[in-house]
Amino acid sequence: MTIYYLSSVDGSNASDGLSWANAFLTFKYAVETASAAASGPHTLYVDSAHSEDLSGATTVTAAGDIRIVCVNRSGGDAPTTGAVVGKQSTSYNLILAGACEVYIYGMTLQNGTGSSSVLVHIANQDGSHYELENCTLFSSSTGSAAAITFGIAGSTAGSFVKLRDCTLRVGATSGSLTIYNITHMVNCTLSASGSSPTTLIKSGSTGANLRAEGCDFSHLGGNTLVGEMTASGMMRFVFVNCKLGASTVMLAAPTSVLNLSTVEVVAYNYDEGDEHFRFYHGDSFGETYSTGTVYLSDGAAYDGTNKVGWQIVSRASNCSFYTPYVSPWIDVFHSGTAQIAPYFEALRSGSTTKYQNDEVWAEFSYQGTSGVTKASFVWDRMAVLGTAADQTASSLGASDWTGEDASNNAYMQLGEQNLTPAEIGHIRGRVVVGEPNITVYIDPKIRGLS
Amino acid sequence: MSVTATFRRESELVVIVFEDHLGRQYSETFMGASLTDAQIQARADARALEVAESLAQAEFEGLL
Repeated sequence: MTIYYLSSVDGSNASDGLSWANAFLTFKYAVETASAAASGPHTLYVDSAHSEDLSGATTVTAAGDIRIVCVNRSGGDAPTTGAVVGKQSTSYNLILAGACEVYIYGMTLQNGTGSSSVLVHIANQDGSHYELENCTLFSSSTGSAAAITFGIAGSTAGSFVKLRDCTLRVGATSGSLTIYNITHMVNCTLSASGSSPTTLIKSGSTGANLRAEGCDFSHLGGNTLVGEMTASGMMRFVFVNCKLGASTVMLAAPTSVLNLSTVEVVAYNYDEGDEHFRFYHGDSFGETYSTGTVYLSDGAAYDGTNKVGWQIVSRASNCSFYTPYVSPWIDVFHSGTAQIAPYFEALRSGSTTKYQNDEVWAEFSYQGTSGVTKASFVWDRMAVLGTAADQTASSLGASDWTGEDASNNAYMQLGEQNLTPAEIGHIRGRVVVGEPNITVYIDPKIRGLS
Repeated sequence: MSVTATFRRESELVVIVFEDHLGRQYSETFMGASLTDAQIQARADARALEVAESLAQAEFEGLL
């Protein structure tokens, strides 16, 4: 492995880049030269005082695997932050590509401070694998479509980006992130020094898959986390143990692609404050929120003490009996093999009219066949072309629920179909909503197991 | 393209329903218990403008 050096302080692209005294001058030249050198992968040390203006749109294409580390040149070359590329006053695309594995530590990458719609674009090539640690990605341009983009568009392309301990910053409320392919974020922050984007993740396509773990997006405030996705290809965005803004819209209203072909958002243990175990699932047909406000007094508890309900809201568009919103599964391990009839307790708040079995129903899966792991399924849905009937009345009522309407409520049981597990295993249940623009509360606890 | 927005409260949630000039409805939600009705309506109206732009763009691209 060879160490190359980059510094805008005293570097020159006419040098060999093999010492600080002979450092390269520009990021593009240094990366492309060092990554193309034989016997790699090599390491590029970037002077923390490196401060580079781009003179035009710049694509940096790594020719082979390379590690790029911002270091304290006067401090024993210890890893640090401070090197900046793309801080000029004119907007230019800064694109990092290369079908190889690239690691970058401590750098700030920008697209200029002009007003054009340009990108800081990471991993823009089929086969690109970029991992960034302790870096700042700053879409400093104020153009309406200026963005930080991860991955490569195209249905046959694949790329991977991982950000750890990185800062994301936008220069205007129109700034956003675009996700293609697979992107992982760990302990990243949306910088409060920048604008609060109206929509953080504005677009993506081609199987975009974001997993954000332990990230702080609270600077979003009441803006939108995931905007409407109109591009083709299913996109999935998962947020785990993240801090979000107060009243953030998790997933914007779908208006042009009104089916399940585009986007799904899941968030586990997210909040703007300290309400633990908050859960969210949303797609184009509906949304599920955990709620600590409406719950069954002997119902599910997220910590053994504090109760939690699920509030399921179907979208106003396109959800139907034939194309329903389907909640996430609820699991419980069951060791019995006797006949049971699992069900969920459900509440309609604000109306005494029970939901019917073409509007809301529950589906359960179980290990119904000996000798195989394949699940069997039951549900209490209306038969196709059948006649709708009220869901089963619950024996529970106002004294059992907390947080429902003061006087008008309907209490129901969903599911309750006899089944006999052939083997021990998981009983799984989920709620299905076949009517647009309605709300149902459920106790997310599978009952009827004995 | 004109879009109007109404809202309803569902426990802690606020459900905003957008309706375009053809009567088509779309909706989104957020946790808004701490917001006043006036704050929510202002926010809904602002979002309605964005939804209208989105619909216009989608119509231009032939998605609608």
